[in-house]
Amino acid sequence: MAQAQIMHSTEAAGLAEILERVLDKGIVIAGDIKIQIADVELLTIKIRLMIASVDKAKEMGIDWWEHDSYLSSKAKEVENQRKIEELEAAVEKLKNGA
Amino acid sequence: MGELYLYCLRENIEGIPTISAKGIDGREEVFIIPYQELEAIVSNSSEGFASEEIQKKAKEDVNWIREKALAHERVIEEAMSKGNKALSLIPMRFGAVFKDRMSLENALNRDYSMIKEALERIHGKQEWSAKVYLKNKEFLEQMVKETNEVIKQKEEEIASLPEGMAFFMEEELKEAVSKEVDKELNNIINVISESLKKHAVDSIKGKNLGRELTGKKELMVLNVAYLILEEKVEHFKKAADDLNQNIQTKGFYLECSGPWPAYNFTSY
Repeated sequence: MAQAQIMHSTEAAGLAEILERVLDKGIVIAGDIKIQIADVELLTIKIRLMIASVDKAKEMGIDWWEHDSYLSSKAKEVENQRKIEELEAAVEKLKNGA
Repeated sequence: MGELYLYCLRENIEGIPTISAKGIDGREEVFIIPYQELEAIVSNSSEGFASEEIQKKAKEDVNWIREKALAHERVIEEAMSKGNKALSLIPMRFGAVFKDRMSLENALNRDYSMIKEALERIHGKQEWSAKVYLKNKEFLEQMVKETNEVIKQKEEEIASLPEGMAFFMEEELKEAVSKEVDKELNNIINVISESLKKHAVDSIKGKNLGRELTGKKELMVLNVAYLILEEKVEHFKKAADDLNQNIQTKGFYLECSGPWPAYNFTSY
């Protein structure tokens, strides 16, 4: 019955639900600067993929960059670049497949 | 000092502790600027939101956006909690930045009556979210086949036909099943959204988020935001619990979350 539980706090809500509101709802007050973000749906997909790829890596025990401080900054750059390329490919695929 | 990032607006209430969550840049304190009967929840930022670098990040760097959006939400959730009570406030959409306090006050002055009206509308009310997911469409199909009168009749008809004719009727039957399944689906969705609406003063249907957004294997079939009087919230939750028990047997489940900042009910 885990799925039957009513959640009483937004902490338990999914990322999609938070982003749906924060990025797409709420008052737009005319400030001096507006931070323009990309399309919300596309963003959420990208973020999901990113989380999935990090989780996957950890699952496989590939988490050395978290422990090695000397390597971590460089590794992050490489890792990020690789991830971005992967994500872009995945998003492209989703876009075409959807 | 630097720019002011605005999270939300609420009525000027005394005796509320300061906000401990860090601001949008992860470092700066969040503080309150009182303005007439309002309070603006803000933080300084030296990030330079107008800079090309940040604007580029906001378009491309998903990690950056995720962090900022969550920081934005965390501050607002803290600003709306007083003990175990939820305060009414107006949440801003992500990304409102003012160059200084004067500029923010000008904006508040300009929109003052609309802000007050919006706060009035949600006073003593909470936003809750209800989402319904379909666990298993085959299961629903099976149930419709077994219980739907239209389908039963069709099946009996087919059984009495010679084989050649029955073959063509099979296709017709499939179509009829799919139509009846859709009907049943809409029916269930309507019953749920209408039953919950009875406990709310307002409701707004949102888009159903796709699986790639929710990360769930079940399909979202209903996504509604409700505005509910504080004293009715328990009734709403009870109704949601009961509905959920009910629809589980039909292959659905219902998820409620809240209280949310009233993102869906404060537009002006």
